[in-house]
Amino acid sequence: MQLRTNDPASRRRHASARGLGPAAARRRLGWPIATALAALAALVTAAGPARGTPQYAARAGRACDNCHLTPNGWTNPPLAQRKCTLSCQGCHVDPAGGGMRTVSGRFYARATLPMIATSPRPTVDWDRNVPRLGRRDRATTYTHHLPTGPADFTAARAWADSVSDRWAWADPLGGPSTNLGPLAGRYGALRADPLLRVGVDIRVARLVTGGLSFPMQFDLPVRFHPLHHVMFFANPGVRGRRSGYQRAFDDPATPYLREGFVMLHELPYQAYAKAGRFVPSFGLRLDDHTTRTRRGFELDASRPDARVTGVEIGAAPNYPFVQASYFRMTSRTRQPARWDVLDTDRGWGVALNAGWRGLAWGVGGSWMTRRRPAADGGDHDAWGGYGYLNLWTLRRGLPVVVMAEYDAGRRHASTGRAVDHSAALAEVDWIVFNGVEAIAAWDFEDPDHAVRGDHSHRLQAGLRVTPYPGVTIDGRVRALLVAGDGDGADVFVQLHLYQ
Amino acid sequence: MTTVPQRGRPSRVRHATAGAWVVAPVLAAIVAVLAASGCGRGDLPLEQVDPAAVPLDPDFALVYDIFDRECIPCHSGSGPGDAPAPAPGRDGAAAVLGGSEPGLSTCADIIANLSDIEKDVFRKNSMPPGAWPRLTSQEKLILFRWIGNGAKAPCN
Repeated sequence: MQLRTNDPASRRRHASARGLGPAAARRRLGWPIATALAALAALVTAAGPARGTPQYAARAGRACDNCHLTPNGWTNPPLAQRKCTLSCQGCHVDPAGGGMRTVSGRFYARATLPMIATSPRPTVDWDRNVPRLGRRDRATTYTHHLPTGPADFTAARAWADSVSDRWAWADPLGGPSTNLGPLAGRYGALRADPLLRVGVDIRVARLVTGGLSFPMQFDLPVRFHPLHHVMFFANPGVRGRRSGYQRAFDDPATPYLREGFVMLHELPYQAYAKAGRFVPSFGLRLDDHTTRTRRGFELDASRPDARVTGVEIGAAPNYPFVQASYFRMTSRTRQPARWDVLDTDRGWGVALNAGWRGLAWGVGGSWMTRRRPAADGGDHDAWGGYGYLNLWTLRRGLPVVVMAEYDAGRRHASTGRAVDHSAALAEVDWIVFNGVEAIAAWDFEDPDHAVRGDHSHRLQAGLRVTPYPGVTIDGRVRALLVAGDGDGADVFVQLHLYQ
Repeated sequence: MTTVPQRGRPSRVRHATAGAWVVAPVLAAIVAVLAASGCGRGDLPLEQVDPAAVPLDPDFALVYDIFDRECIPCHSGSGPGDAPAPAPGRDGAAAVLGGSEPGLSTCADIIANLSDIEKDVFRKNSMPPGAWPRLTSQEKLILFRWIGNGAKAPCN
C-alpha cells in the first residue's frame, strides 16, 4: 500500500503526517541550527578542511532510499537523465568530492547516518536501531506504509509545496529543475535545486592521551545557482592548529579560499566542467587528510598548497565515471595567495580518475603528472588503483564495506635523483546499528624506496557515532609502527558538525 | 525504460552483486601489488643514497621551517615559563601534548632545548608524538647536519 495519491492537498496532509510538512520540518531543524550556532559562537577562532567520506558512498548502494525517498512506482528516465550514482558528485557539490553536500547528500545525512533520522529512514534499516533506545526516527511512521516520492518528473513538481529548508533558498531563474537537475519532492522537506545554499563544516579534535584540544576545520561554503546549468561555488575557511583555539588565526595562511570555481553542470550523463581552484581528482578523497595516500601525493586537503588552479571535466553516466583535469600550481616552497585563485608558478599538471562505482562494488584507477622546474618541486608522476566491496549486497543484513587503495609515484629530487615512493590503505566499516559504525583501518607509506628505515604503518580502530543529522563523534585508537625505534600510539576523538 | 520493484532489493542491485565476486580478488591483488613493490626495501640511509638531497651546511631558515611545520603547532609558547610544570610521572609525548613542555617558537628556545631535541628526534624517534608521522629522512638530515656544523643560528 502506498501513501501517494493524485490529490495535492492529500499529499500535503500525508507529508505532514510523515513529518515532511513545514511545521514538522521547522521543529526538526531547530536542534541542528541551535547546535550549529552554538558551535559557531564557541569556535569562532577555530580552523580546517572539508572532506568526503568514500565509505559512505560505497555503502549507500545497499538501498535506494538512502539518497532519496523510496522510489515506489518510479519509472527510470533515460540514462542521460539519471542522477543515481555513487561517484562523489552524488552527494557533494564539488564533483571531485569533499565539502558541501548536494540535496542527495543532505538526505543521506538525515535519513541513514544518524540514530535519530529526520528524513524517512531506509526501510531496510527500520529494525537496526540501538537496543533500548527504541525507534528514534522522527520522520518515518513505522507502519507498513512506505513514505513515497513522486513517481515521475511531472508529478515531482507538485511536491515542491512541502519544502521547508533553512539552509537553501529559492529557485534558479526559470524554476526548479525538471529533468537533469535534482527533482523537487524526492528529498522530503529539502529544497532540491536551490538558488542559494549556505553550509557549514566544523571539526574539532581532542587527543585524549595528551589532553590537547585543537580546531581542525571551520568552513563556510556558499553555492550560488542563478541559472540552470550554471553554478558558482566558494568555500572560504581557516586552517586548524594543534596549538589550540587561541592561536588558530596565527597562521598567516588563514583564512583562505579552499575551493572556488564556476561550474557548468546538470548536463546529460551528469557531465560537468568546472574552472577555478580545487584539489585534483586522484584516488579516494578521504576524510582523514593525514592518510598517506593523500599526504605523499600533494593531496593533503588541510594544506593550501594542495589546491591547484585549472579546469576539470567529468561525467558519471550511472555507474561508470571519469574525471580529468589540467592545472597549474604554486611551487612546493610556498603557499598560494589566500584569495587569488590565479596565483600560480611555473609548471603544469594533469590528473585523470576513472572507473566504476556501482551499488555492490567499485574499482578505479588514477594517474597524475606534474611538470615543473626542480627549484619549484620537480616533476612528479603518480598512479594508483582502488576498490570497494559492499558486503550487504552479497548477504543482506551484513552492512560491511571493505575499501582499499594503492598508489605509487616517482618524483625528481632537486639533485636529479628519481625517488620512487608508495602508499596504501585498507579500511573496513561496519554499521553496527543506525548511527553507530565500527571502523578498522590500516595505512602504509614508504616515502623513498631506496632509503633504509623510513617506511611506516599506521593502524586504527574506533567508533563513529552520529546521534543526530550533522553531528558526528569519531573516536579512534591509533598506533604508528615505524621502522626501527619510535613506535607510538594515541587516542584521537573528533567532533564534526556540518550542514 | 525499466521499473524498480516496490519492495525488496531492486533488481539492479541483484545484477550488481555478480561483479562483487570479481572485486574481491581485485582488492586482494592491490595488497599483492603492495607486497611486491618497494615496501621498505631500501638498505642505505639518505646521506649515502643522495648526499646532496639537502644542503651540506643548512642555514637556520631551513631548520626553522621544520620546527614551524612539525613542532611549533604544539610547542607554541616561548620559554619554559609559558606552560605549567609537567605532571608527576608524565614525560615525553604525553607531557608535550599536555602543554607542559617549553615552547620552541624562538631561536633561543630551540638552542636552549637542543639536547632534548636531539634525543627525541634521533635516539628515541618519538617526535612528533603518538601516531603522528615522524620527521622525514630529509628533515632529519637537515637537522643532523645543522647540529653537526655547530647549530649556527642568529641567536647562537
